[in-house]
Amino acid sequence: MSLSNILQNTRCYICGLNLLRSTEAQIFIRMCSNISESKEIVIPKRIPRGPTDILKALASTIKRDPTAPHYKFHDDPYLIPISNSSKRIFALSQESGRKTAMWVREKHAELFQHREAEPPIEAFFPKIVYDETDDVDNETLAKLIKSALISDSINVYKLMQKCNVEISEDNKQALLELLCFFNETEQLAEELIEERWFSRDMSENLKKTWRNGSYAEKLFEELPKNSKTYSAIILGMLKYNEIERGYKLYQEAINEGFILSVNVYNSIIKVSSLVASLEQRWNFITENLSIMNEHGHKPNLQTLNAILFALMRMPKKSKKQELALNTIAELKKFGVEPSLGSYHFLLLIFSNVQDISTHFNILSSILDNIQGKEFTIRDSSDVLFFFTAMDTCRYYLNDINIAYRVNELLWFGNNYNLIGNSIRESIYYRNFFCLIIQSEDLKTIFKFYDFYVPNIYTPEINVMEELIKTVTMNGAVEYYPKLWTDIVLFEMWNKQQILIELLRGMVLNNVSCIPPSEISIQLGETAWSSFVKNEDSLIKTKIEWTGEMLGNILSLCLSADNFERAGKIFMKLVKDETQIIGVPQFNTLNTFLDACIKNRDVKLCFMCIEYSFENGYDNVTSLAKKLIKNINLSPANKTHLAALLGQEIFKDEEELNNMQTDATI
Amino acid sequence: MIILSVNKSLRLIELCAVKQFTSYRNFSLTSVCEAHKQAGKYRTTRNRSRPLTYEMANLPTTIAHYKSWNSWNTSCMFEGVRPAETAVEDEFIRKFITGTWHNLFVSEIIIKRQYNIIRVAGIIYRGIQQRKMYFLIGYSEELLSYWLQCPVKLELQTVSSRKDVIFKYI
Repeated sequence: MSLSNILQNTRCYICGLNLLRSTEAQIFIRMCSNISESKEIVIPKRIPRGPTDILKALASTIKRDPTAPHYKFHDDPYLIPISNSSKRIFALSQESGRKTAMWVREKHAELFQHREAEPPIEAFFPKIVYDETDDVDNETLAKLIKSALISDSINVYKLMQKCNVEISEDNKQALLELLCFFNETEQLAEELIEERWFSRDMSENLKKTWRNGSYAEKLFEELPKNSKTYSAIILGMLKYNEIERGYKLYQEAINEGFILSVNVYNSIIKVSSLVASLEQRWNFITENLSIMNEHGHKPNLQTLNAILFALMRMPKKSKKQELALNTIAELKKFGVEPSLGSYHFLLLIFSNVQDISTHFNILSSILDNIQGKEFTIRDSSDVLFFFTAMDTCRYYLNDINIAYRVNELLWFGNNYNLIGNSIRESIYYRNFFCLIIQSEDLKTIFKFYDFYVPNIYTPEINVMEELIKTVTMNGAVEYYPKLWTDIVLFEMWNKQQILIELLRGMVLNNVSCIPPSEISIQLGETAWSSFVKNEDSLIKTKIEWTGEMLGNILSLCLSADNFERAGKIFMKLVKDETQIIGVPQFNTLNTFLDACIKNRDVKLCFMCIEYSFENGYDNVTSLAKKLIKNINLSPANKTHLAALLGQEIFKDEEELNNMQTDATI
Repeated sequence: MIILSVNKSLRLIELCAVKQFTSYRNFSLTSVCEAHKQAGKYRTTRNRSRPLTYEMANLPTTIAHYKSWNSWNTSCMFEGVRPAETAVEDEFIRKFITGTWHNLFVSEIIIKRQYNIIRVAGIIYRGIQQRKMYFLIGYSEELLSYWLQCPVKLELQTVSSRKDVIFKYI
């Protein structure tokens, strides 16, 4: 190829490139010109990075995918949980397996002493057990305290005392703080996240759990009295609701002129409802704040939350709403920005107000303030906000728009981390969904339903019931088969109220025609599968069929033109007559008889009439007459019918016959 | 002979290594050796009733053509580290998994090492309840991590019938 040829080709290529990506090319040219123009290169300042910053940056590119199960579950059709109980069981089973492995490691610690990783990773080694043969020193104790191993720390402390090793003051103080903070109870290991997430403990613990005469108290007696030791023991006692003694020690410390840590004042304010009388409470709070001020402490976020907590506990008729707003405004002057927890308390403080507009105002103005912001946890109460906010939306405001705003905030940035635990999450979504179901049209409801269910949220029984009712009200028959599939997946197929609603709805909205429409066939299929699923199940607590439910299934099977199935349902009705509460509607039996006549099944016809007779329907004779009119009965059958309903029912027929014979004559 | 006594997958990797090594020394395997090679071959039955998975149905010579390796690591590459330790550890993982997941694995156990993570993959039969599987997943992952001192992850796929993995009968 000649040189000119090559050149031409290149030119063509560049032309093509220009045509295709003209804008990019322009940018490129501009950049080139910029480089030639600017003479000085400005090197940006170095940004200090942490060791996990790059991981965080990578993680921020991934959003929660609602079409996939949570990443803690195995990505396999068999192993993906759908129902609430299976989500819980699977996650906890996995953790249980991990705990078993931990147990094996502790039991056979000698087998796990090898050092494979370089540098060695502590977390993989079994826990070190200290006994009298070991050399223990201050360093070991400090390490144990730092890793919050309570019983080990106490053991080593005792060992050191026994061996007459001098224990540093710092370590003693640290141990006291550790014991007070955890009340000498071993904590759930940090790596057991699922156990924490699924814990059902929702109530604020108000019982006294502080251990009297505990090692912490002994240690406090041993140590020289100073502000640090006082702070530690008071904080411990107040945290575990030993209010009386804690408060006594507090007064003692104040009288002796110790300047306690700021947390102590906060805790005292927090328990004010248990210390001061109703009238004195606000004064008590302000007094303590002024003591804080005298001691040179500035209020912090915990102070604000403690005050709001105390206000929340105030009686209905006090001016707590006003006081709360004033407190927030006042503390803002000190640079204390309220956290989500503060807003949670604020919502609760306003929850007694009867006036809806005040409610609306408070939540919407909170949202105005924090919309589009990302939050990290600053106070332990922060995880309560979303739960309370959605609760307010549903029970006080009944306003879907504000619920959307709350939800938007929850899904913004990393705010989802503040949802709390699994119970709070499901209650949050329960309220959200109930609100959506109440106030939105069916299309929107199912838009949300398809987005959240089942990977993020599995509806509870009452939510599902509401949903079925809404579908029934809207007459949207096409949703029933889908709902039934979901009900089976959510393991609710044996729940009475769900089945009653579903069957009732299907019958109400079903339009039977001949030949059956496609939707009627589908509904019949759904109804039949609900029957079979419950009949074949091996679960001990079986569903209690009612006459209405079976009647509904029967009529749905009939409208789907499936006489065989209808016959089976009817046999069930007859067989378990004594156990089934209530009876089907007369209309259903009427249609069933029609179908029997159509299929020439005399035996079933008789059973139908017998059943209606036994259950005392008014119009049994009309059924019998219909039978006589349409089918030529044998003499035996006729006597049977006469025995059941009396000879009169043949009257019409006889008259007819007579007339016919007359006519022929 | 020593080579033949080690497990199948390892054997293959090492065979490759030996081949490389030998070719470097200008030494080649004779056709007699080739003819007597037994590893990774299954004998045909008279009534063609021996089930084979895809992995078993393909001869070791087709690795990297029709099928893949069972152990993925870089220890046998140029400047690779811990080749012997890796082999022994892989064998340990295989024994541990087969024993813990008793009679459940219907495929080979694939061990993939990337950075400090070991991923153990395979196909299992749905012979036990899901929650028991989750228990075993948690247990295996945790105990293997303690043993190998690095994060271990299980990547399982389930099949409803053992026949699902059968590629052909010979």
